[in-house]
Amino acid sequence: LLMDILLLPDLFLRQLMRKIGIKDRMSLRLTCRTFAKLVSESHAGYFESGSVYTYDDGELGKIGIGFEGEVFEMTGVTEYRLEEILHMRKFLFQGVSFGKFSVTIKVGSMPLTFALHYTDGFSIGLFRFYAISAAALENTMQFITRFPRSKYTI
Amino acid sequence: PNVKLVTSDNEEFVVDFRIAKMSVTVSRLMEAMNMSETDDASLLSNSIPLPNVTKAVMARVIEWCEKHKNDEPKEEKENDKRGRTTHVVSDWDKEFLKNDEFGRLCQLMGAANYLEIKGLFNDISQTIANMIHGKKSDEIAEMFNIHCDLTEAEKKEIRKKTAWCED
Repeated sequence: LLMDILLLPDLFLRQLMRKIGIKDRMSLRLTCRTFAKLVSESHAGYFESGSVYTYDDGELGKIGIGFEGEVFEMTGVTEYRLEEILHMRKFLFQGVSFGKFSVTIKVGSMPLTFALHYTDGFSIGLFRFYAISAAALENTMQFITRFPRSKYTI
Repeated sequence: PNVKLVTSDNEEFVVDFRIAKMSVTVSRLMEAMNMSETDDASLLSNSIPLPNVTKAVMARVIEWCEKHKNDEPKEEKENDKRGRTTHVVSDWDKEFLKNDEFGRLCQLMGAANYLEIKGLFNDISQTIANMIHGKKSDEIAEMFNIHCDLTEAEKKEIRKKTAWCED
């Protein structure tokens, strides 16, 4: 008994999308235009933890994002890299919920505009920030206002 | 006490009251028809019509309910309400669903949704998510009978933009 998955009611598909991890969402969006649209317009569900971070790794440093056990990293903490992350996020989900979310910037900086774009549609229980400079702390304080219902540790 | 359920193809299933109550839809209908556990006459004289469920699917639903009738009611956590649940499909449920082709899973999912049996609905959607897990796009397309309408150039472009995540 063959059945086209895309004939499932929208409610089922959206429920299903909440159970699908980030890497699997990437595969799904390559199957057809309808799935590409569904992936980008659906909620990614709930993850216990999430992160965005940079760290020292030789000359260029590394930038990464995490969704529970799934971590994606790139070499180089540059504006171009931030754009790539925003691009990926835009095409993979519209919203997502995290129990805990941490921002740890040890190399370079995370512009407020990036932080706001990246976390658009996020729901976060507990925020954890690691700021190494006064400028980073100021960014963080502005960023916090975006999530008045979350708890924080800095 | 038993409750009579009648499917779209006019098949009558006589099930235990506890099993009938596992469906929110059936519970509501019984309430509307003044059917109560303590009133045998009300149960004997009425049957619940289920026009959206066929005999074959109903038999599967009842089999699932029989297995789960003594389960402790699950408390809905805040995280569950927000979405992606850490739903673990039990070994029995995996076995129960493993031989269902995708089309049959969809029919069962439709019945679980109509009957409002949340546990079964979650089991099936998690099973489908597990079927997708770790597969490449062409494997998913083949498994679910999806016709890919993306051009090779478009696929290449998408892959290029997300190549950094693939390592």
